[in-house]
Amino acid sequence: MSKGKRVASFLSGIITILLSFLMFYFPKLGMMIIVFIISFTLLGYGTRLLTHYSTLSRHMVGGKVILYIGMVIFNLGILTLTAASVGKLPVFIYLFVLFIFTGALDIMKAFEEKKNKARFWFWRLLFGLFAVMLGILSVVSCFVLKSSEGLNFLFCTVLFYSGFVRIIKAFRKTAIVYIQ
Amino acid sequence: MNTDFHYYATYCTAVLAGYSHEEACEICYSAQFVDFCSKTFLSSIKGPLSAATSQLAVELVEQKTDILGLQDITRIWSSFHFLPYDLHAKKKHCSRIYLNKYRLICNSNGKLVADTVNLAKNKTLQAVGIAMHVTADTWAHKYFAGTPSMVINNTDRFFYEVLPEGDSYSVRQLKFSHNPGAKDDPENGVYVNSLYQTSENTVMNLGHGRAGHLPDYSFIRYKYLPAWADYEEVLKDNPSDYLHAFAQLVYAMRYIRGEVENFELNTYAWDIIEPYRGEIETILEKRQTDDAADWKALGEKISGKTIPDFDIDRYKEEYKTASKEEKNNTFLGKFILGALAQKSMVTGKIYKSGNPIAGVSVDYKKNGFAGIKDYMKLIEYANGGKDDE
Repeated sequence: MSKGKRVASFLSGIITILLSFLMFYFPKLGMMIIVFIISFTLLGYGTRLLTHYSTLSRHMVGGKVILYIGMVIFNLGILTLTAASVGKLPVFIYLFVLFIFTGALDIMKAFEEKKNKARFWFWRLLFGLFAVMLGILSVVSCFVLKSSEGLNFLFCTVLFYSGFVRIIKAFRKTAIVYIQ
Repeated sequence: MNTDFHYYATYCTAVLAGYSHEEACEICYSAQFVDFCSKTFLSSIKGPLSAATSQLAVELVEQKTDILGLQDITRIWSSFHFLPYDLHAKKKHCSRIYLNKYRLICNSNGKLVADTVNLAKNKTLQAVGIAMHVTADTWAHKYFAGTPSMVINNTDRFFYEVLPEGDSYSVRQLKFSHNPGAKDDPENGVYVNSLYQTSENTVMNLGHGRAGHLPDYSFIRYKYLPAWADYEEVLKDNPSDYLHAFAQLVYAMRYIRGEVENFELNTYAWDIIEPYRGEIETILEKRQTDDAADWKALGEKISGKTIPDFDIDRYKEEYKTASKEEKNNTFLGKFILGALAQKSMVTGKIYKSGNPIAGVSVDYKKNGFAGIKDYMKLIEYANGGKDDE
């Protein structure tokens, strides 16, 4: 990782943590902030992938995967944006799917890394299990506690965690395979 | 290709081309040094950083992949390790941005190979060594580009080793892991490669990283689907490619020595290598990841002299202790000039083809000197960079 990326990662970590405090102390803004953060992140990433497909990866073997991922992510971005006016339930469902999906992915990657004798696979496994736990908590928050405050607190936690990870990443040593 | 070919096999080719033991040692050292002349090394001798011919893993990790960073990477890897085959290649229905990357795909016997060999003619032995490294790599690294690009350099699960069995052959699927600490396991067909990442410009997608070290092993034959080849299967026959590289190096150096009038592409010194062809093929087919000992034994048999082991620091002190005026006449000084000339030539050709990926190149004859100060040395080089013999 370049110095610039490390600084960017550190700063975005700090901003994310500040945002989590903002949501914690002003819970009424919470739902709106959640929806906009998720939506614009997805729209931006989806647009980037669709542009990549139209200019480059449509010529690549297996390049359609980029198109499909781009379309799905872009649509999820639009869907999330509309979720604010529909109500809280879609946001709960969305968070559940998001956490379960990323958690499952992390757990799968952790076992793959273990198979490849990579270091730190256990930490990835822990992150994966934590994400799954958050997914379950979002369901509990919606159907058992029936409160958006729970969701707000949940998202604060996630934002804080995400910011914390970004700061750690800024200082983490990275290793790649280098072919000469 | 690794030390085995760039150092020891290049020594064999230089002796077969007619160079003395001492000259061959300088040529093969220079050919091998191309893989070690990084910015980190140049900093340690206070040399010009623009002369870098390779990048260390730690440098790549820290390397920015913004426009300037990509240009820096492309200048190094396209000029010395993945020489583009056709800078004016055509492909229907694709964007300019794609075409610019597509045109940097490396292959043997491209026009730039002739330009590289011609550039080394009447120059130093270090320049000859650099040209031999670049030429040899066009055989090993063919089908990959010296710029980070997923759409060109990516590979997928369709990756099979082809194992000859008499008149027939069998295939087995190869497996890849991404653990940087792991070693390649040819017996079980497990190799280390870089991670799949959907980011176009990540260094994980530089050169043959996604195919691991397979292009660097002379024994292996494999088939796969290159990202750029429209689902057409490509067979890479390394023993054959490496044999062609060997014969072409002998031919190129005979041309540089003036024993052949013109350098023609697709021409090889088969007659010169014939007495040793059996031994060469045996080394190339041997299932091992390092052929250095075998090449060294063959080289010493051909010349009757002992080949010293490669030592990255062999000429360091000479350069560091030389006065400012004398630096260009030291071994490393001559290597640096040769490297700058090669990089300048390839970057200039890429830029003139209308491709901005390697950066801007200014024509000295038309516009005078402009740009990176390090290249001022090239003017001295053009005015007599020969050995002081």
